[in-house]
Amino acid sequence: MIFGISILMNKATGQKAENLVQMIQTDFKKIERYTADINISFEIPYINIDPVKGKVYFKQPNLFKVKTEGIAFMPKQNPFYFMELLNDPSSYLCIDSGSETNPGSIIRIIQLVPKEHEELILAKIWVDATRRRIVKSSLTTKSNGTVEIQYLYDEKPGSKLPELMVFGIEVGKFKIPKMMSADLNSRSKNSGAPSQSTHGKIRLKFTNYRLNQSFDEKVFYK
Amino acid sequence: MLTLIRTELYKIARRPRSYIGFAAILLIVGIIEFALYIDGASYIDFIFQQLEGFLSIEGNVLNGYLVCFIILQTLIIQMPLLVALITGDLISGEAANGTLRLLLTRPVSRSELVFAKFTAGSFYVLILLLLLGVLSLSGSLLLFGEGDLIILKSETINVLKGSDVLWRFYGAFVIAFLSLSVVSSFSLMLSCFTDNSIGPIIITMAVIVIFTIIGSFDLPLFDHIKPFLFTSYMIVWRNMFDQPIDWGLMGTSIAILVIHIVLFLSISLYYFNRKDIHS
Repeated sequence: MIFGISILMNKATGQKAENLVQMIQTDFKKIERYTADINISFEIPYINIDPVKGKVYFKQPNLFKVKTEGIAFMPKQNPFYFMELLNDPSSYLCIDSGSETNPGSIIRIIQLVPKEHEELILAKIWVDATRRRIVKSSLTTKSNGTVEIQYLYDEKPGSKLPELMVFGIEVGKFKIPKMMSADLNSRSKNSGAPSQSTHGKIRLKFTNYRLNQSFDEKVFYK
Repeated sequence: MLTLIRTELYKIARRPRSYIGFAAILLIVGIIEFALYIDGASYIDFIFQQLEGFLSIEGNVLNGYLVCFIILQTLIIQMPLLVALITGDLISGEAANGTLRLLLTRPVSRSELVFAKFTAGSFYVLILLLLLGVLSLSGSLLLFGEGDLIILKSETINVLKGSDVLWRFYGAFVIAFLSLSVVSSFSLMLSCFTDNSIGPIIITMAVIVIFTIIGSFDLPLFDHIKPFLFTSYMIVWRNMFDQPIDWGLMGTSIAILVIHIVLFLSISLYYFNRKDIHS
């Protein structure tokens, strides 16, 4: 059994990072578009908001839109932003940054450095080499900083779309003048600088995926 | 007593000054709704610019509930001034016009007169608030539609579901009525002390402005003073929009507002019953 696991590990870690990335891209391109129902929950330090329902729309190569039934705070970063880059293997450098072992899987860490890109600086992806799917990504862009996204999948074999996406975001401290908020009775909780950064999480739970079914694409441009 | 109250209401209705409050509310609500309808998006962008770097906001932020909330927080600080304009000379105005003595020759006690004037003043406050409520809530919902309500506090943001908002507004209006009743009883009390018509109005306005300014500063020295200022409890209507609502704080604040009304009315009764009426 140990021998079998070691063969599996060798096979998984032995793949070239470029090949693994291209295999993921090939799998992902089979899904031309999708919609799904979504439930968003928030864990942002200074924002009190209940979970929100909505619908998510995706179209290749990287159009992604969340439409909610009520107000929702969403990360500015599109989680599929880097997928467009993968279409052209000559447009990025693929750096193998080693691997981690998880129970039942081997996680390869791959860095994608765009050669020329107006926005993306670095994409770091954690790939489940056995199931050929991304389990975590860290995208650093010029305008939105770094956003970490975890992707959790259901147990169905071959499932390529996540059941849950968890965005980890760094948010600056929120402070507006009392006279503007008319919040005259409150006291400042601390004397920290307004720009002090705190960590937050936004969870997107996907259900009812509808793959490759047409929808009105105006949704991306509203 | 009812006849007395009706007479007092008639007097309020006869005075052109009584309509300044209604006109001011109509004008301010109209201006705010028009301005937000035309340029509300820039206002929202300005408020949320601190979040722009990390988060985007989905959904209809500028909806009727938010517009109503903005109007309330703008107006409820100013409304005591409109109330004082009427209730500040309910008694001193009679003295200044030389009608108080004549009024007290009728078979009514002085206490009944004070109560009748306070009740008529409260009815005026109620009508003023109803107008504000109808214009700001119904008008804004008509213009901007429904949606979730974003409440900005100085260091936090609360988002309330649209279905969970309406009852909070009703509660906020009830607390606003109590708060303005504190102002009307305070100005009525000052009105008992003097025969000058304008004095109690000016003093009430000055006290509210000074108390509000002290309340808005975060200085530790003022923290010891704030619990003794009735204006600190008048803005508790905003706490109706907390999630969850601190019912302990709400109960305490409402009790303090009621105690103030009772206290100011008691002082008015005590003083007015012993007052030498010269005119």
